[in-house]
Parts: sequence; structure tokens; C-alpha cells
Amino acid sequence: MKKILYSILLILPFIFGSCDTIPEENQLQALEGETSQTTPITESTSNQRILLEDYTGWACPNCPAAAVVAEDLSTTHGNKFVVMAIHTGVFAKPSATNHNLDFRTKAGDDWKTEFAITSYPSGVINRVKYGSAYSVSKDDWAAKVSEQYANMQHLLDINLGAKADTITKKILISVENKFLSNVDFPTLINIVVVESGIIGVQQDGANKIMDYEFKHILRDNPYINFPLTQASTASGETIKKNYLLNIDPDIKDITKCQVIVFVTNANTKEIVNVNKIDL
Amino acid sequence: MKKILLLIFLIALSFNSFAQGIFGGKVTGNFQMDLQASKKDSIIGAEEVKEKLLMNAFTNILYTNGDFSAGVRFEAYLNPILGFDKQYKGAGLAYRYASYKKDFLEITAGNYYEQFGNGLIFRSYEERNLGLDNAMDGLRVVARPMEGIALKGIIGKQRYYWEKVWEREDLGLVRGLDADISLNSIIKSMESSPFQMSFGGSFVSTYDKAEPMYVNNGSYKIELPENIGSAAGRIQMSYNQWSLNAEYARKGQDPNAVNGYIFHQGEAAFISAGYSQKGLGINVSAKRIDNMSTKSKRNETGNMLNINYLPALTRQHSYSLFAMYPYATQVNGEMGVQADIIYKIKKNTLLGGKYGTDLKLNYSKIMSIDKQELNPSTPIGAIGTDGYTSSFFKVGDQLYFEEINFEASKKITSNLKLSFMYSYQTFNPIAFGKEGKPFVYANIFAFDATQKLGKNSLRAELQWLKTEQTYGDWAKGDWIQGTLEYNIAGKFFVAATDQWNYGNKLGEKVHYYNFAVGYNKGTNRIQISYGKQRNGIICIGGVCREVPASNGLFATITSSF
Repeated sequence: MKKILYSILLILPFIFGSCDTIPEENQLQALEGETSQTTPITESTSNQRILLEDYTGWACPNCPAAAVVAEDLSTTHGNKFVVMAIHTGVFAKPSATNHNLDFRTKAGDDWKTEFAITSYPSGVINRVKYGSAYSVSKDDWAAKVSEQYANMQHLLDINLGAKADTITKKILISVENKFLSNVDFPTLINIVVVESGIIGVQQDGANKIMDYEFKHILRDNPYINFPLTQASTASGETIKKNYLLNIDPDIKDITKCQVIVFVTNANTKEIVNVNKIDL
Repeated sequence: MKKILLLIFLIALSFNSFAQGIFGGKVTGNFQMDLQASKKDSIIGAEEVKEKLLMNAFTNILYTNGDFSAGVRFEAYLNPILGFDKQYKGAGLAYRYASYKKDFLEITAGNYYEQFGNGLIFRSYEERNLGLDNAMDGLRVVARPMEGIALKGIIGKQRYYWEKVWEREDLGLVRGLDADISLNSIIKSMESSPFQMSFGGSFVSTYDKAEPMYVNNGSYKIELPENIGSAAGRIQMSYNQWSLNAEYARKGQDPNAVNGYIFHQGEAAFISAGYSQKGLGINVSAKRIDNMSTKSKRNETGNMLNINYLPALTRQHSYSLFAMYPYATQVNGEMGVQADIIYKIKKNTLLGGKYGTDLKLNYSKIMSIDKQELNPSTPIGAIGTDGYTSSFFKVGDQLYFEEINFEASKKITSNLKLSFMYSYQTFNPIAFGKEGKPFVYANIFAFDATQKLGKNSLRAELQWLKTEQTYGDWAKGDWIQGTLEYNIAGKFFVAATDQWNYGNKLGEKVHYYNFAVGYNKGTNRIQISYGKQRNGIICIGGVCREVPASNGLFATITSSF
């Protein structure tokens, strides 16, 4: 009897894996967001642009310095440089000290995990991997950005139109993706909203800045990794898509927001190109 | 270089230790090397081999010492011979394991092969001629707590060419449990009963991480299940001359590349009943398969990473013209029956002659399964849906394969044996993946005579395939094949074969000639052949691979120790 019980106990762990069942109504899900409505294209690109994802937090003492680096790069490169500040991790956790101002988002937390961000501030530049890591120290941002401008292929132009409707609480975004070369990998499109001009508490070294202006804060309800193209796309092809985004209820002032659209290589995660448009 | 040195060391070690053993244990093993030097031949479609020489080789080294055993297998594909997947290119240790038994437990760590029941939900095996090896890498535990009860647990990842499977997140993790109970061993009063019965059950689950999948121009996302489970129950009974073996399996939702990403649950049933007495054997089998392709990587097609095995219910032929149109199991759905009658006409009778006459009759038929739309707006097999409904007992209207064959063999004198075989085959090219192509109907004959000449023997074989289908590809009209083989004292042989496509109406009537010599001594064998090989398909147990045309030298060396 003991042997039988012992045998069953020994073998049972092997069957902990079971069987997932997807209900019929969830098997094939229509992707929310795409719409037939359009808005005029007003923001066109004709150059390769770079997205800096600045992982930060209000309690991060070195992060204001990183924000300065980001601003300097924006000044240097103008419209070719796009910044998205992602508040996540331990330094972004709200408390009474910062009046419980919470800039964290689900997308930001997911990306922190995906790109293995463990120290702050950290930057991810066009989602290019350096060695085994995506994160780049702020002291290397300038050099890596210059390196990417020099080496990146200009494969795609992203032209944008956007209109916010505060009554329906939706943002309509029209995107034209113009492929300039043959692209032999599938691509994904990402649409996010960032907000600037929010005043709050920020740790700066040993000091606290009580009226710090936060910029380019990633807001909620983004569209992440929507399929844009499948296996390959020919040079000259233009793919037009329109999306309706729900306005994050935490947004303070929609007029201080930008929509950032970036297209990634579905195989490598690297950003193919990026563009932004003011609302 | 390191791998070559390791191989040499292992082989030297095994030879050195064969007689004495190591630390009281014993070392055994085997070795095989296939060499191919094929040249370009545009008439038969033989491709150019830039390397000039291709090679497949392996050696198994096994050490046993009481209840402990360990083994390795070194493989080398430098480069793979024609027809073998080029992803095998390379050399290294493809298999290694250590195993021990203690009391009622048997533990295996490393690579292992295993099968649950008939394999409907789990079979890990190697079929070298197909280039198929889905060995598990992980742990296997077998518990036999008492006589008549066996519990097995397995966990691991399957071999995928030379990939480091534990570094690949896209290769699924397989877990499984099997229980087998023999009533005659458990119930003492049934120990010597003529009625023997055993039953068993198994469960297998695969974790296959789901990447987002979008369809319909990216407008829809398929929610893919990450844990795919299968369960099966089986029973085996025998009573005197009668026997019965039945198994039923069910698989949960498993949208994959083979079934077109539908959520339809899989199902398989297999039953075989037989009667056997001296001089007479009858066996009837039937099966139903509905969406049972189960792999540990959902996007994989081809022969790799199969978790289960779906038996073919067609006769496996050794005569090459009979195997011209082999049947491949249709894993997405088929129903089939097979019947075999083996009868020996007694010796010293009018028909049986002095030595008796063996007769074999075989019939098999494979059909599609019936599939109906889920609703009028959803076509059968629509991606991201349940796909279709299918009634268990309803047969579809598409014939996949049908064959009736008859075989007679008779020893005329103590030195002369004759065999005759006839087959009528109806073949649907869907088995080659060519749906919609015309059927092939073939009458095939074989005559085989072996004459002993003292310690030597001479074998003559004549095969003839007659068909009206001459539309090209695999349907090239009539064939005739002759073989002469002379064997000297069971050690040395020479053979000559010519397979002539005399009925080809669309191209050259090619002679596929082949000359072979071979030598056996003890457990060593060397065979060298030269000639042309036609392109075709080789199928073993319903699993197939393409054999490309070749023209040149082929050599095989085998040895065991």
C-alpha cells in the first residue's frame, strides 16, 4: 500500500500541467481601435527618427539629470528625436510625499520587464540591443543616438493626423506608412499618448523639487503591437490605417499631449521609424 | 576536432573494455555509417552534390552495471545524405542518459524514448530511415509498486535537430503520466486464467508559449491556448485464440499550423481484434482520426516535434514497386479499416505440398471523415473558429487509399522456395500533399525464387506494375523490375537490379540499374552499391519523407559490439 501511495505521489507532479480551454467568444477577437473614420494628415516625415524611452520615477534622484540630457538631444536633433518618459518601478510608486501623483501605466510596467530595466535612470534607444541589454546609461545616450543616426536604414516614413474629441473621450489618429525599401520582416505598430506640463514633486539628488515640470509622460490606453504587415512588404507600398484611442482619464490637459506612433520589427523588436504629432 | 577525438576515445574505450568491462560493468554498442557519392543527372532529376561525398553516421555506446546503465550516441551528418533534412548538418552527442533501478523505481535522466499505449497521445521514438528523432530530454520515472501495476511519468523537451532546446522558449515543455494495470497479475485467482486483461490510461500536457497571432489583415487576434492536454484510455484482452486491443484518445484545443489554427478538439480511436491458431491468423483493425496532429511547437510542420503517433492501417511493403504509392496518415482526419488473413496450407497435402504453403490476404481502405460547417456563415476550417463538426461514425466521401493484396509462398524442395504477390492499389495523391490530382490505379505483381546451391544461394525477383495513369510526377505509367542476387556462404553477396519505367509516355523510359556487393562477418557488414535511384517517397508507419533521385555510389558499414 505504501509503495502505491509513494508511487502516486512521485508521479503526480508530472500532471500538474493541464489543458487550457478558450471559450468560443474569445477564440477570435476583433481588435479594438481600428476605425473607418479619418482625419487629415498634417505631420509628415521624410527622415529617420529615433525614440528614446526614458525609464524614470519621481523619487529617482538622478533622473532629472537624465531628463536634461533628453532635452539637449531634442534641441540638437529637433523633430528627428522623440522622447517618451516611462514612470515605472520602485521610484515611481506614489506616496504622500508626492501627493500620490501616479504616472505609472500597465504598458510601462510591461516594457520595464520586457527590456529588463533594473536601474534608474535607464534609456532604451529605438529598442536596439547593445550586447545582451537594451538599457543604456544616460551618459551614453548622446553617443548611441549619433551612432544610430549614422547606421540606421531609412525604410519607412510615418505620416500622421490626429484629433482629440473630449466629448466622446477618444482620439482619432490617421496613419500613413510609406515603405521606402523592400522590407522582409513583419512589422507591428504602436500608438501611445504622452503628456507634458504637469507640475509635481521630483527628487533631485539629495533635494526635492516641489514644482518640477514633468514632460513626455507615457499615459494609459496605448495600442501596443498591433499587426501592420505580415511577412514582407514591397518598396513603394503605403498602408493607411485609422485608429480610435480612448483618452486616459488621468490626462490633465489634452492640449499638452502628443501622440507618438512607432513601427517595430516584429522579429527583433527594433523600431523601424517613429513620429509624433501634437494634439 | 574535439568531437572527432571524443568519438575515437569512446570507440577505443568500448573495444578495450568489451571483454573485461569497466568497474565490473559491461560496454556494448553499435555503429553505422552511410556514404553517398552522387553525381548530377538531369534525366532522372538527380541534383549536383557540391561536396562530392555525403555521410550519415552514428555510434551507440552503452554501459551497464547491475541496475545502473548509461549511454551516449554520437551522430555525424557531414553533410547529410540526399533526402535528409539539411538542418541535421553537423556532429555531436545527440543522445545521452543515465538510468538506475532501485526497489520499485526506475529513474532515467537525460534522453529517453517512451510510448503510452498505442502512441495515440505520446510516442517518442527514432526512425533513422525517415530522419526522424523526437527523443525526449528530461526525466522519466517508472514505478512498479506491485506486480501488474506500472506508473510512468515523463517531463522534458523534444529533440529538434541540433538545437539547444533548453535555450529555446518556442519549443514546448511536455509532461505526461501513464498507468498500466494487468488484472491477471493483481487478482491471484486470474493468474493462470485463459482470459487475460489489462487496461491503462494516460494524460499528456504540453506547455507551448503563445505569441500573439493576428489574422484577416491584422483585424483579429487569435487567443491561443498555452497548455494543450490529451488523454487516452485503453484496454487489451485475450481469451485463448482471441485478442482485442482498443484505445480512445481525446485532445483539447490545439490551434496549430497543421490544422489551420482551428479550436476543434481532437479525437482518435483505434481497435484491433484477432484470432490465431496453428496455421490460421485473422486480424481486423479500424481507426478514426480527427484533428490529432500534436506537436510541441504549434507553428511546426513536417515530421519534427510530433508528440504522438497515429498508426497507419496499410500494409508496409518491402518490394519496391509495391511501395511506389505509399500512404501517409492524414492527421487532420481519416477513417480506415484493415483486414489480414494468414493461412498455412498443411504440408503433405495436395495444395500444401511437402512443406506446406503460406497464404496471406490483406485488405485496407482509408477514407476521409465527414465534416460539416459550424453554421452557414463559417466555412469549414475557418481560422480561429472550432473549424467544423464531425460525427464519430460518419465516413467522409473522399477515398484516400485502398488496397487488396494476396501473397503465396511455397517451398518446392528443400533448396527451392517460390513466392508470388499481387496487389491492386487505388491511390489518392492527397497522401503526397497533392489534393485534386487524379487517382492512380495500379496492378502490381511480384515473383520471387530462391535456390540454395550448397552453402550458397541464388535469388531471382521480378516485379511488374501496370497502370493507365501517365500524367507525370509520380504517375509515370508501367514499370518492370528484375533482381538477381547471389549469396556466398551467407558472408558475401552480389546483386544486380534494374527498374525500368517502360510505360513512361511523357519522358525518357529510364533504366534505374543498381549493382551491389556486400560482405558479412560476425556482427560487421559492409555493402557497396552503384547505380541510379529514382525519386520517391519512403513511408514507415504512416510517416513519410521524400527520397530524391541519385546516381552514384552508396556504401553502408554496420557493426555491433
